[in-house]
Amino acid sequence: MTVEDETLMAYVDGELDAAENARVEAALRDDPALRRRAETMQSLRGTLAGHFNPVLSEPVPDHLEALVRKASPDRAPAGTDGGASWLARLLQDWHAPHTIAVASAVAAGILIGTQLTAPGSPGGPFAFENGRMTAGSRLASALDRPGAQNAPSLAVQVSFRHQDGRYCRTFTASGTAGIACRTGGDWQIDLAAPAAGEAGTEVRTAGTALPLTVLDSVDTWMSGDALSAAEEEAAAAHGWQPQ
Amino acid sequence: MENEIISYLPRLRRFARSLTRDAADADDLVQMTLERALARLDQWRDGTRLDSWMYRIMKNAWIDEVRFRQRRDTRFAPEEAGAAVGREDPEFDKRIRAMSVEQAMETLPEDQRLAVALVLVEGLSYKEAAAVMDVPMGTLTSRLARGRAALEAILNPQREASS
Repeated sequence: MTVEDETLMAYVDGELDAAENARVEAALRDDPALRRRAETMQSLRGTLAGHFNPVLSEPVPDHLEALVRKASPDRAPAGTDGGASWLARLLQDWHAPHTIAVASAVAAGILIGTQLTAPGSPGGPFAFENGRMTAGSRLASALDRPGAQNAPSLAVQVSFRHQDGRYCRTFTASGTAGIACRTGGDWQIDLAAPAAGEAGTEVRTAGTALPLTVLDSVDTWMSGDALSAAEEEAAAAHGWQPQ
Repeated sequence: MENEIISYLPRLRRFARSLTRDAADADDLVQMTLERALARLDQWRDGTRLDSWMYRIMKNAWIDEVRFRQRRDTRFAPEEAGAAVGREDPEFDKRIRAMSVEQAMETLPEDQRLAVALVLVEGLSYKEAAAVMDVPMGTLTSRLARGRAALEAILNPQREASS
């Protein structure tokens, strides 16, 4: 079974219908070279998103907003309306990059899910069900423990508070880097991207294997500073639930 | 309407940033787009998406700008862009790496860069992106594929070589 490059591209971009999707996923299971190709395409999406999404959280220059308000006949009083639109913008800034990152994580999850079910690789780092990707048991227990973790092919680096209140941690696992956020009783994978360097063959120390996509998303999502060791201990003691 | 346009500003700024080389040019492009859009609001038809309509105006404004620059063929001062980047800064290393994404985007022909920006950065569907660019779907996907291949070769050379 062959998959044309253009079809694979459409798969990665979420443009295929269910039948075509299934055909590509079957081919991905049997063909490691095709999987690498798909991961490269996915990785480019992640790189571009990581690079340009932070623009969404920048304050919009006043003169641009003023241009719209001035031209509009139904101009509202500057004071009250300005306040409301500031809040709306803030909310949008927070949600837009998040949504995009989740969308790309779900796309990456399709790939990872495929690998998970591939013959000879049971029990990967992620669980994927109902369109939601969460940490598998081994990754989850590393994420549960406070402090940086560094096991073979599995590492946890920094922890931070998401602007939406959840605790999140960066990780690398089997060649994938990402951000897991404690959501209910699970570690939900909010961002996944191929780790920098060769895929998962060696253990790297914190930081070096984190691709730009992940670093930029941490910057964008983080509220306050990264957690200190004491703060991690405290958060872990409460099951990483928002207090 | 006013608030709807304002709510699109962050996305329009991101789209502009992926097309132009530096942030000041990008905001100039956003301004040009807003001026054109506001002057022609009566041409926007209810039922078409306002954001797609504005992307399309920005696309046209950008193409005009590129042609204008080519004719004038002068100093859209790259040294100015450099000055802002060269400061002592803890983020310096990150910016250096980040620069390469912009440089890679800049090597693409305009039509490929637009396709990449609309689909991979802005997250439009192929159908929406084709409509913004005023081209058939097949043209959009082939531009996207070529742009993508070129970017992968620049940003990920070792991966390309090993596959």
